[in-house]
Amino acid sequence: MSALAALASYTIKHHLRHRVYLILLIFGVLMLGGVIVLSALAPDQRLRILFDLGLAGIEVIALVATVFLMVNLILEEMESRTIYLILTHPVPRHTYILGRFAGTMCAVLAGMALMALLHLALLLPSGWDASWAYGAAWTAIALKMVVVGGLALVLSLFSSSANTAMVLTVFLWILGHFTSEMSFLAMKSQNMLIQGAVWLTRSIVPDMSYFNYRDFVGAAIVPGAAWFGWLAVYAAAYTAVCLYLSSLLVSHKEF
Amino acid sequence: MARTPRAVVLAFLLLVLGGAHAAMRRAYSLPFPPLETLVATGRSLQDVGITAGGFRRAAADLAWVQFLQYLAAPGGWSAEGVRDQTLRVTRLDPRFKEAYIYGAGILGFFRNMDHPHMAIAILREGIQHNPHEWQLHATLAAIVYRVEEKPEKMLRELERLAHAPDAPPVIRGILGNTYLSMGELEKSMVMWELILESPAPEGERERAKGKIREIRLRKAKERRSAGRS
Repeated sequence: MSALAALASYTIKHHLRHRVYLILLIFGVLMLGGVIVLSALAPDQRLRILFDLGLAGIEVIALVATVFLMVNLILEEMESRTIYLILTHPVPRHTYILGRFAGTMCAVLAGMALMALLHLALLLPSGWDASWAYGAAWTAIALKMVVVGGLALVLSLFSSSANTAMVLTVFLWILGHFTSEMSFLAMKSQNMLIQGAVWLTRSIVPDMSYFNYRDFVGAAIVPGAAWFGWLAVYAAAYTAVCLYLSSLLVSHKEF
Repeated sequence: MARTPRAVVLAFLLLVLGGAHAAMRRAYSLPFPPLETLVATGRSLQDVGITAGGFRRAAADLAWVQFLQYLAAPGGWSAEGVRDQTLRVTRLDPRFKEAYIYGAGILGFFRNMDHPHMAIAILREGIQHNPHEWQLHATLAAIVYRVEEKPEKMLRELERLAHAPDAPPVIRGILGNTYLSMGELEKSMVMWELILESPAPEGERERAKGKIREIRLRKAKERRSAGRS
């Protein structure tokens, strides 16, 4: 447990000092500033635009940070051979993976929390009625990032190329938003082969649309607590599978 | 020996994953129509691109801003253009009730438009997605009364809409103009003042200021002519 905490703490410090992380945070702040300008173009829908585009901005920055940091997390250490320094200690490889993953996610979530505070500082003086829906939307984005992080990590270890892993993660991110669309098209096609391929894809690719609670806020029927619970279980299980596979890949790697 | 527990752990995780996925989908169905219903405009790539990133409401917001810019652009609008811009927004986010009311209001009441059937079709689609939104029902009723030439009933519905705290400025503008054409200057003035008090788009505010000036001039003229007689 102490090895896990030490690894996570070391990873958080490493990321907080990372130039890319800081640049992304500054970019996030600037993006939130851009949202103010955009919302001024539609004054009667100003709050809606501030809410939607602000959360979208937080998600985009968090996505870039998660993919970039997670893909380079272990690949950089393998290239610079600093991984030997850690693995020469009595640290099981699954603890190493878990510690590094947890540290990276803590750094990303801290950045997201900071941007959310700035976002709320824009929303509240504009007359927005504070609602628990904001917290729910933020949490759903955070769960989405945890899933993306797990996916990026396993793909980076699988492909051993940072660029390929980043492209694959973003591709799966986009595909994950089309799973319900694919089901709709498969249903229309009536072709068993297409339906089977869609079912397989839908089972492998994370169902990203379900994490978009920010898009359900204005819906006539808002998802209940049970749905949120299942979403958390789904995110945890998907991430656990990714971490388990990452751990297997690292344990089979020759350093 | 070590392989069996690994396989068991993986199988257990996959089982939990599958179960949670099924339960999540059962507990809530996504509130968006399929992408094939999106309206094809010159900005379809933008709409699909943003939706592909999972930002459906954000895509509708940007489309809304572009709709307002379309209305503000010099060169006039066409009824088909207003209909397509409205449907572009509402197909991206079918809960965007203000967009239905705005588009239908223009198509159903503006003199240079006068396409109530297009407006009715837009509102019917809106009501299908938002059956409990009274403002959509009231706008539909007002347009139907206008087609059936029942002005009292039409005005009653528009009054109800215009005095709601979140009333779209376009409805207040329509009512203000209707009262103006009927010679009801005081009632018309109330509508334009309501627009100025609300966070309406700049174009609407400028229009309201112009109408208020016009009403004041007409009142002064009436007073002068009353004084002479």
